Amino acid sequence: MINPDTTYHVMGLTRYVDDRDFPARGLHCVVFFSPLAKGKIRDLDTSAARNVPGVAFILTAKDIPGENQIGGIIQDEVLLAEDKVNFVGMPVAAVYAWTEEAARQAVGRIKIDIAEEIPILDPREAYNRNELIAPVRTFTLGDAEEAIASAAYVVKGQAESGAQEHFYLEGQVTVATPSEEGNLHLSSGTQAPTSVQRCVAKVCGLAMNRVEVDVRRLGGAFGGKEVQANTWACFAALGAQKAGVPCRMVLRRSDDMSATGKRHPYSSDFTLALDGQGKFLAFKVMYYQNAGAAADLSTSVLERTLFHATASYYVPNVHATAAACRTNITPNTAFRGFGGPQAMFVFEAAIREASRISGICAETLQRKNLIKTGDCFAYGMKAENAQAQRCWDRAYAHYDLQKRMRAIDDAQKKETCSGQVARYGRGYALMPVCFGISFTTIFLNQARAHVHVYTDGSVGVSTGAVEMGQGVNHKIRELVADSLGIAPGRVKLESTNTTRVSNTSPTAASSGSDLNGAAARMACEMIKERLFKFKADEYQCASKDFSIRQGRLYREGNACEVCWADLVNQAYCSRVQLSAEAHYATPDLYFDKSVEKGRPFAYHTYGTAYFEAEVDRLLGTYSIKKAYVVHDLGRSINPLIDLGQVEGGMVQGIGWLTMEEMRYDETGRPLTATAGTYKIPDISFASLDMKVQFLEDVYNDKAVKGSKAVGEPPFMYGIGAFFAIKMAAGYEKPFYFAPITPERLFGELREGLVV
Amino acid sequence: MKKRCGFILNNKEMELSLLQGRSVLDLLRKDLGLYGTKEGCREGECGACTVILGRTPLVTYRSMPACLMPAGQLNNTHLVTIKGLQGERPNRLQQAFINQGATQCGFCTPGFILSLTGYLLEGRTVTVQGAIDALGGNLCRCTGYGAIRRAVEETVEPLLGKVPSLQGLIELDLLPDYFATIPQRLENLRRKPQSDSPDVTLERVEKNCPLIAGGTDLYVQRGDALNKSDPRFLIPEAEPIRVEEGMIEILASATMEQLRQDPHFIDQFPGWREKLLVIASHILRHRATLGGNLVNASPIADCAVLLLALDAQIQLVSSKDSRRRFPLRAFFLGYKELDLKCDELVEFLLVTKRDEAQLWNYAKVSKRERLDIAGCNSAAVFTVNKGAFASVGLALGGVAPIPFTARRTMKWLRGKPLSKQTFLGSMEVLQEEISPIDDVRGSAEYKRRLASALMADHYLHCFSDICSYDDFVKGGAL
Repeated sequence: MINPDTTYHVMGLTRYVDDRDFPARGLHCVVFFSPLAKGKIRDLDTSAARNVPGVAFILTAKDIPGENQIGGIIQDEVLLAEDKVNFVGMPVAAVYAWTEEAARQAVGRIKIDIAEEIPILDPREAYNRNELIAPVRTFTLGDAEEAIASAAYVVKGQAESGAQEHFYLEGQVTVATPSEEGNLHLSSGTQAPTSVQRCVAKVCGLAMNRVEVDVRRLGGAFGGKEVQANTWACFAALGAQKAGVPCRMVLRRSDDMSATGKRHPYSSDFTLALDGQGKFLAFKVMYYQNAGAAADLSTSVLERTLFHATASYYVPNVHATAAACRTNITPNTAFRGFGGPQAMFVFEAAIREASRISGICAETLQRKNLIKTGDCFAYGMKAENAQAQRCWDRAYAHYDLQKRMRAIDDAQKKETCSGQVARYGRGYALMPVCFGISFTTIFLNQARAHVHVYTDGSVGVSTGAVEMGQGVNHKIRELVADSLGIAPGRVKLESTNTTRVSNTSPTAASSGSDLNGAAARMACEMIKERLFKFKADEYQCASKDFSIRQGRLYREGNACEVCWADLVNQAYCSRVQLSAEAHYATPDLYFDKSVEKGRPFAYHTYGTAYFEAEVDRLLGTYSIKKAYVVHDLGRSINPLIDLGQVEGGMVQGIGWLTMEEMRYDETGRPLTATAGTYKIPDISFASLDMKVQFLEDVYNDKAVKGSKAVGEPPFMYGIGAFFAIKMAAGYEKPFYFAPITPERLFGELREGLVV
Repeated sequence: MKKRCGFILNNKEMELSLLQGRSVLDLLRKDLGLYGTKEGCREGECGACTVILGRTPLVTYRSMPACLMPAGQLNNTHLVTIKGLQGERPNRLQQAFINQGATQCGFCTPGFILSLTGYLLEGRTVTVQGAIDALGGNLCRCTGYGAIRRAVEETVEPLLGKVPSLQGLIELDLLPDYFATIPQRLENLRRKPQSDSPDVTLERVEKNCPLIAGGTDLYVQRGDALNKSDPRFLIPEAEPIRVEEGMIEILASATMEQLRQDPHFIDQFPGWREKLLVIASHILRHRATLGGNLVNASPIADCAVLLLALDAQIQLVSSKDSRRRFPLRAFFLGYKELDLKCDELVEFLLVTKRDEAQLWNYAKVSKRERLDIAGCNSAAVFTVNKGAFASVGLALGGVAPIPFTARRTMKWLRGKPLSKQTFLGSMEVLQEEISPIDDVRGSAEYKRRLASALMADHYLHCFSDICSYDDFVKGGAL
């Protein structure tokens, strides 16, 4: 069945948070941000701003009724600056006015005097100054030093990857409405309703039960509304609480881009050791993560970097160290892949470097070392039901890769022989992905669902999952319908609401349908069980004799004369409970941080992508020509949705490593924080020949109905595009700096031009 | 001061009293509660607020971003939002988006639907590539565009190679029936006692009153102020480009898309339409004007560079109705400084009309090929006589405080034989006359070397039988 939400989308009927009439007696909040990256506030003058007609009040740190603290994992982030500022875009004051225009005008009249200090922008510098968010962590397996000492090839290098702006089309938004008792209702654009609830409660000085957070849907999020939504929800809540009227907080694109966190930039040093045949012997790596000015989710992101240090490969000896370095840019945050892409990029760079030094082609190295069932990851978990080799081999066979690559190799050889440099170069790269599924913070791997069956047979479902375009609501609708044996059209997904489903985990880590879908099915099974027992009592038989298919009750395979709606109504009249709440917690997860070993993932998702790129060596521009994918989804719940996730994730990944460039000047001011200066892929850039095949005959017994999570893994295919561009460029230089903007590629093509 | 403004909004005649400068986006969302039109960036960069504007004669429909569009320009038009396409069910195009999974979070979707519908309404021959190009100003962060491309193919399939008529689109379930009534209704509107006309005539130029043509630069630079203002507008003309006395005359109000689609330029400059695709985006080219691009005085202005290479003349008109005509290159005096008095307007530009196709090239390098501001751009026009350069037009953006005419290089080339040595030599001359600076679009060194690369691109494009890329590499010119 096709996702019914999409009908409303195409007709423009879908309502997002800000798509409703806002009362004239309501406040609009606009925030005044720090213009400097680091310094002590000497004076903040809001007097002129207060005099702007229409301004109700202006809040600064001292006006916060509760705690001025929005840090999650680590309590190190204030909502409003107190005596110092730590990054450009840090909120300093919040202006509340009866029109957005007045609030904006007032913000322009706020004056701040800051004793400017020299900011730290480079994570390595922060590391050297011991500016760390948390203690450095190291994952080890075997003895890397010993293996390096005896290796045939040892390659070393440096890899850099840049920040990435989420560029969700709907900006950050919350509308807060107070009730007569002083409770708050928030309609929020968040991936983490409970996190907003907790944060708002703390800042407003309220108990959590007085803050209700409701989320209908988001216009994209990608990790950018997991923690980062809290700030804007707090501002809306503070205004509503103080004035007793609704308060609307909508970030403009330019404010959104300069004030919210991004994907973490990483700078890394690697050493890869191989034997003479190209078997990986050891990998040593040091990651310097640019965490920004506060912890946010940096420590968790860093942890996932360590989990994915060896990408899709088995390496018997590993020494991986990672430091979350405190700098003076926006606190960086979750973004699809969550530290995994940064790690995999480094390892793939190491493979290219190994290929360059050893002369063994990269694909041989990749294939030879792909992780197999039973191989141990550095964190002590053994790969189960590994599909890396199958995906790889299937991609070769299905897309005739050998022939395609040979054609490009031959063209390059011909060029070399001719002694003539060609303007346009073609290159290819393969990118295998192995991505661990589960929140690595074990306690987050839980979800609840509420299922109500109404007396006409229609069904309402509430879970902790937030719909943000990934189709989780529809997947759950189909799972519920399948479980109850009724048509999906009977099932309605309710908004995500903290008063219906409490203590939710963020919809993140690709886990939304795994966790919430499993909980919803458990609730359905409970209801079914009651219905069957009710009928079993009537027929004097066993519950297990019954089943429901296509809206009809069956007894031992024979249709009964009872349709679903009648069954439900009869049960109701017999006082059978037709609602159920279920709780799902992923089994068999554990991790011991004292030794950095455990079983942090329920399973891994696998896949392989093949890329072809063309480079114009004259101008330093490029285009991605082909992306052919074989992806392991287990048994797809909805192939159309999953195809969209694979294609969408991949193009986002390509964007990260190619054109998407967050630049900061030497004072820490972002230079590309507008839609005009920060470029994401458009339809022309993305007009590549894109083919996706799902791996056949796979069943994943670790997730709901044999499926696999799909949100994040395809993002990392994009790394292949980077290396295809490098090959197409045709120079043999060990540069592994992303994003490879045309400017950077141009510089690399003309050696010595440092950009 | 608010003024009356009469227009048709979807299927409804509107008579509103409104602030002329208020953006159509705010008018739709904040004043009229039409929430199907989304606010994505207020810079015309994302396309989430795309609407279709229909103007007489014939009702010419064009898609454009509502965020950069002043409400005062709605007078006597048909404004179509996503609501205006709405029947009881999704139409054929909307159904294709559903079938292909071309909408995920849905926020960008109304914009895509309108851009594509607008394309079908343009009165041009439908091709798949044309339809895809028409979506160049719409960003989607979810789908990776694969499903959108499939939905486009599904939609345009019955129209390929045809010029769709309004009636044809209605019959194909791509437009609601009421569109058939619009031409007559617009005519009725036009005949009604005049609304307050906000359009400026050249005689009414006044000081300190914002004058808006397309607004695509002004609304990005000072949208908040303009939103509260009472600006006046250049009257858009249906046929702003014409040939007079051997010259192609382009009115300042001509849009970039009108320039791109102009048959005179297409005849005279082979590949014109394709090369100009890298300028702005489809929806922005429907608003951005030539005059605006010039008076914004950006050193990287795409149209300025193009027209400089074509050795265009500019004509200005003052409030006292006096006129000045001079070479466009003299118009740019310094960074953001123009030879334009405060009571003067750009009236039109003139380019020499030739009957034969010219050797020319336009190239631009930016982070993203389309809808991005160039690091460097360049245009060149060559005429050749007996194996030597008879004349050369060469301009570059991003290498000087102004859109730069490389006069020394042009002069040096004149009379020189077409040869690798000449090509390489000209690049040295070019290096001596440019002076790029470091900025967010790239370092000075990058732009300096890019200028040489663009020059090589011109030669490779126009004289591929004489030179190869390898010659430039080995010649040490890059």
